[in-house]
Amino acid sequence: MKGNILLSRVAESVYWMSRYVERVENTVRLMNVNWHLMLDLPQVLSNEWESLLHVSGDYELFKDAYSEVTPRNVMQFMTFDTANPNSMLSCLTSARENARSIRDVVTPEMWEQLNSLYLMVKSYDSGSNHFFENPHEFYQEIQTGILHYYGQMNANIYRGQSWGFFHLGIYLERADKITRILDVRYFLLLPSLEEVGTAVDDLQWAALLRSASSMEPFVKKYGPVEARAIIEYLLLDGQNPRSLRHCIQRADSSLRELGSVPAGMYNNDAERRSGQLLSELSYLTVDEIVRMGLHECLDDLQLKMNQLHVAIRERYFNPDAQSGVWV
Amino acid sequence: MTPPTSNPIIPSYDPEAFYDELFSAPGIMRPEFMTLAEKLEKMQLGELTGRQQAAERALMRMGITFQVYGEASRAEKVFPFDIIPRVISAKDWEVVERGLRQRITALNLFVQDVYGEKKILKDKIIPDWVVYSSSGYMQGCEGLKPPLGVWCHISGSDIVRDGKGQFFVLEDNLRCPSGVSYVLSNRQVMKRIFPEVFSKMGVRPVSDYPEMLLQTLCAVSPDSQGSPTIVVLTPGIYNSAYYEHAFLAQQIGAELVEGRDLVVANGYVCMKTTQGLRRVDVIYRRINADFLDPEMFRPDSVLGVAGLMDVFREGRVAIANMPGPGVADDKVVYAYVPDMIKYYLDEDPILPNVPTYLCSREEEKSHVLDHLDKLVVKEADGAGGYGMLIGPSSTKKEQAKFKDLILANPRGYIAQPTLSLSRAPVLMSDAERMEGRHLDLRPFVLYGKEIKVMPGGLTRVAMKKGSLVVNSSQGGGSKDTWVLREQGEES
Repeated sequence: MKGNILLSRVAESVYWMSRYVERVENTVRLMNVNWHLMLDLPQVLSNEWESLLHVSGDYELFKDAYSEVTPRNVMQFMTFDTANPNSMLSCLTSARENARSIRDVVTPEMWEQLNSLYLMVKSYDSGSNHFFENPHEFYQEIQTGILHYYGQMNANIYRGQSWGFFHLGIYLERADKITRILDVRYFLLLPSLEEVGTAVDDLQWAALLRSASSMEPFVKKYGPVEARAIIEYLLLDGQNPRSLRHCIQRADSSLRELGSVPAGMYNNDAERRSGQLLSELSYLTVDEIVRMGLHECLDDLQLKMNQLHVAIRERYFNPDAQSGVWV
Repeated sequence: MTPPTSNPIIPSYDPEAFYDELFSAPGIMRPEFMTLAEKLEKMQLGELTGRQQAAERALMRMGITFQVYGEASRAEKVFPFDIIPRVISAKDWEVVERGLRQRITALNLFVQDVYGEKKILKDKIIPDWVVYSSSGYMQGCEGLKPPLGVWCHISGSDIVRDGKGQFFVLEDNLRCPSGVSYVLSNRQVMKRIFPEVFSKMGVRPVSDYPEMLLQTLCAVSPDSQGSPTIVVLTPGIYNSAYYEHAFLAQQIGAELVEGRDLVVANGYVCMKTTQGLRRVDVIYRRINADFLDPEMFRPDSVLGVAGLMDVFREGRVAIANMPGPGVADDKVVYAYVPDMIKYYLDEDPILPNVPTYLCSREEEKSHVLDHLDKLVVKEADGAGGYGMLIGPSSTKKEQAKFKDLILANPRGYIAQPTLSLSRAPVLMSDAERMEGRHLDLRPFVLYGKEIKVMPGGLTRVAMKKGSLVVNSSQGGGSKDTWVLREQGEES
């Protein structure tokens, strides 16, 4: 009997490949938004660039290798530096290595697209291309390349077992990044949340939205930029495809498809934790978040997402812990 | 508008003093390949070079690369590819195919015999020490009985032609010959470059290889009901042939597994899936036989599956190729293949061996030592173009080194006369011209319920001027191999 089977190792590689590609997508978006912001607000730049290093959790590593936080250094570190495991080049390398180990699951078109993207970034000569004067075009090219890859994936991947792991990787990575971006930019939201009344620059608000999502639907739905609305839009809005709630929703339904379990029920710890997190996000309000404290709330959500990740690993990637033998 | 310049690559080509696969004389292509000549002449200056570069870019993007061992950077390279095809007439191929069938039949019987009754040893056709000192002999295979009596499911003997165009078998590869994925992707690229020539010339297709491979693997499955679960067992992504392992797995719908994905449980080989353990019926192994089962062969192996051979003995899993046939890849054993053909089949070899001097024989050893500057000396268990002395192009110092090596271990070396290997034109990258380069051919033979020979195979070509070494690890490249249909033959 052949049927719909997926090796645990392959499932894990699909999951990590997806996470790495999505990580690049988030990083390139952050870098591009920040660079545009710098053109408008050259005076606030140092803080902004440093905060990017906190989003990926690489500030310490950066400090060891670079003497000061300059836009050029941060861009180099986050784009090409292979000593930084979270740089775009490192993530593309890891994504490609994972893809190579599952060439029988990834379609030839997806592989070619990922490989081209990797070759493009790897062979890019930032010196002769005046990259640091105008990184926009290059970043745009990476973004387009990733969208192309996602297009191939959505159009062609067989909706079997592996499909669920493609989704889990993408959405858990995106969820992780949203909470980190919000947490790092917390100081931006802080004054108005505590009603100190300090006017925060509109440009920075807009930059925050753009780096985690898109600006336009926000304005259409909520009107002028305001702290509570941003929190709601990025964490709780079910219609925003990059909101935390939407990500957890997608991850949860992937887990249910994998386990053939209806909503509201669970057979394993991964399904239980994702269901719990999803219902929390579905019924949480901004008032409650503010009362709890945004930072504390984000900390709590991150912890739960980590637990979910561990539960998925135990259930699907760690076959020694499984019983159920049939031949 | 200037009139199109006529293309000089054909009139300017000189095959020199070699047997040329495509040309019969300077500027004159063999008459049976006229269609190709016409096509090449019609192409504009620059067009061929442009298509050559497009082919290389496509291969890079597709990730059809290999890694060269010993290079610190683990650099990935595209296997050099030349777009001028190597063409073989129907008449020539008929002989090669018959010869290959005969040879693999005899070799398979030999392997069966060596690990079974040992008649050929008892009848003193081959001395036992030759077999037992072969590095490919595996004691653990004694008494094994594979399904259908087939040990060598996939094989690829290397074939060369001499200065007169006569075919010879240079060596046999019965372990895990690689290269078939290049044959298939080369053909894909060539169909884009010369679409119209294919049908006009009657080039036989190779694209059904995966289907034939699948049939071969299914034929030996222990579970004759339903479609068996087949896996391709790879050492992993750092193996130089990893691309091929993944490609073949995808083509035949098999799972691509590493040793750590497999486990023996409840008497079966199982793979670890997201839904628990699933039984495996057939293992197409692409790891060395020594590594298959640490309980049976090399105890330090982490690439294989502990207990695999016990499951095999119970008839609950099939392995292709079987461990054990490597005994016949040894170059001393090779020298006895014509005797095997005579012994098992009572036939004369259709494809001759290259004459071989065994340094283990006293009189042949002295002949070799006296003619080190004229002969090619090879390690008996060497492969990949390593550990060779090519007499005519060697230095006195290298010859002295090989003299010492041979004296220290006569069993370990054989020598062969330097063949004037055939050549074919290769497109030069710097200009619109072609130059002759030496080449060989690795045809692939499948052995399941019946023997199937892929028409053509991997043509490997030495890209360096004058070089006789065609191995990819030594700078060799490849060409698409076109085997033509019999005139009037439909498919």
